[in-house]
Amino acid sequence: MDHGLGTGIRVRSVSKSYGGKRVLDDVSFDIPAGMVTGLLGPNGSGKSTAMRSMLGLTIADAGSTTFDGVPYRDLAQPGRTVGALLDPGAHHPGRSVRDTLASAAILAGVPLERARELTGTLGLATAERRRFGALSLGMKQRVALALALLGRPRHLILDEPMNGLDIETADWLRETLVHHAHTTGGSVLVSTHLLQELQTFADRIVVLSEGAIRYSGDVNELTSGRNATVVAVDPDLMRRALTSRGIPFTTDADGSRFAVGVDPRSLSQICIADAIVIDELAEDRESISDLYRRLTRGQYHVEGDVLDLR
Amino acid sequence: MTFVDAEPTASGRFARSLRAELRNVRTTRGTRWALGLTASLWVIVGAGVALIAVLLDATTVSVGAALLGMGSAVTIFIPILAIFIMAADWQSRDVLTTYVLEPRRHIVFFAKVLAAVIVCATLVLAAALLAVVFTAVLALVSGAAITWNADAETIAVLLWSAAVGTVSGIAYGAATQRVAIAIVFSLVQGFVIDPLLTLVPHGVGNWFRLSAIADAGSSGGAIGPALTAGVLWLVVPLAVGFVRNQRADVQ
Repeated sequence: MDHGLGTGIRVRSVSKSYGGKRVLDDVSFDIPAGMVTGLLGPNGSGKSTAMRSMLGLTIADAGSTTFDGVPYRDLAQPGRTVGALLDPGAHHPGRSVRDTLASAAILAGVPLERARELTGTLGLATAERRRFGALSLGMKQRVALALALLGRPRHLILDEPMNGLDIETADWLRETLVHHAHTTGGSVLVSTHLLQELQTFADRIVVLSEGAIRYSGDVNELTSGRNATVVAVDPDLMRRALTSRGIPFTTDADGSRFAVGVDPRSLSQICIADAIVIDELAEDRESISDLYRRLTRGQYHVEGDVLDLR
Repeated sequence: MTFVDAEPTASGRFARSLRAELRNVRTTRGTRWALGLTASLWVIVGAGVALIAVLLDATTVSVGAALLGMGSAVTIFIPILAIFIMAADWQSRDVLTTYVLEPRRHIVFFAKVLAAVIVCATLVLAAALLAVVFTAVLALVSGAAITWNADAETIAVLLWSAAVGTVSGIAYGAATQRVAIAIVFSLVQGFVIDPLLTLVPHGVGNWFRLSAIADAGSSGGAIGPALTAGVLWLVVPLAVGFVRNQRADVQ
């Protein structure tokens, strides 16, 4: 029997409704071992609900999630198998940082030295005795990260982990996640709104909108449909060359700048073949932000133009 | 640092949860306040008993009186402590971390219940020991003789009241998952609902008063009303609390 060992995390046909409103609709995606997977989606798209249902915190109406083939509830050592950061503020405000981590270490079956080690690594040593409720957002985020990393877990599920972190710590976290996935074979799922940032370190992306998966796959494949822009000295010559080959194109207002539906190398070969002199040739690659906007629709979108605050 | 211990059994996981819950009692502000107030009441009761002994120039000091005073202080705060243990994590949403680290919710639920029982039993034991030590010291200082008049019924009533207080605190905390709501309900139950039930004609209300359960611990109590009240005020909220703990979405 295939227990899916080393396969990473598999989410299958997960659905969830709240009072008749469908929040997740037959959601399936993979978070393969050895990869960082980004979970993208606008506010209210169901990202947090999906993450919570993966861990049994939200009871899904249907569907399942397995970690290397094992449902979360059946893991022998959940705290050492999966590390989760879901809500950095969800801790007792009157408990100290040290006590918050110590309690979690006991539950995870991890030595208390590990908690102390992480407070040092994450720059929490001086705040150890402070009440959790008195910490800044960034410090709370560090505590939440320490909790996620406490059991040296193979799988990581992190909801907006960069929120509130300074640049140095965010860089450290990115490198840690990539290192964890690529060298130890762990699975990492990160949800974030920092799309460009995700493009720099995620291997795969899952796009969620209105509770349904819009895209699930490789980051590079997502934006592989490349076009080119070209500025021709003789626009008529360029227009004839493209029309005769049946290549789609659009031009700007003065007709000299062409947006062409082929990659830059093919376009340069056409220009050479037809002796077309050009002033400029560039790749016109759809940015991940544009693609994200095209794929998703926010449930809570902002109405109107820029707000004048005078 | 590598973790090399074997995979824990169900009892091992329960032991971890219990250890974490007992540690949380020490590190949570609400429970620390309740424990501190209990200790303060002990001091006040002790000072009162000593003052009366001095003013009346007592020739004997009673262990039973001290036990009743110290025990009453405990029974006031036992339901509140149990409520904190059952509901504080839900209120602060710390339960999110708890259920990530221990997804078998029934283990966490029963660990909380046992933690509440252990803490409340320890308090009752501490009150009894304190009463004996306090009486002995008072007798030594005042030159009075000690009267060992703590009869079995007094002790039984005290223990029964503490047990009912513990279970009701566990039940209300589990059912509401909110500390403030559970404490308010506990007070309303004791000071409003129970007295109102005595006004119901033909004594029907007596079958549903929470105090009917406590009364069953004394010689004047009856089993029937204790059972009906127990089902209404303890069993039902406990069952509701257990189901809510198993099924509630952690937000």
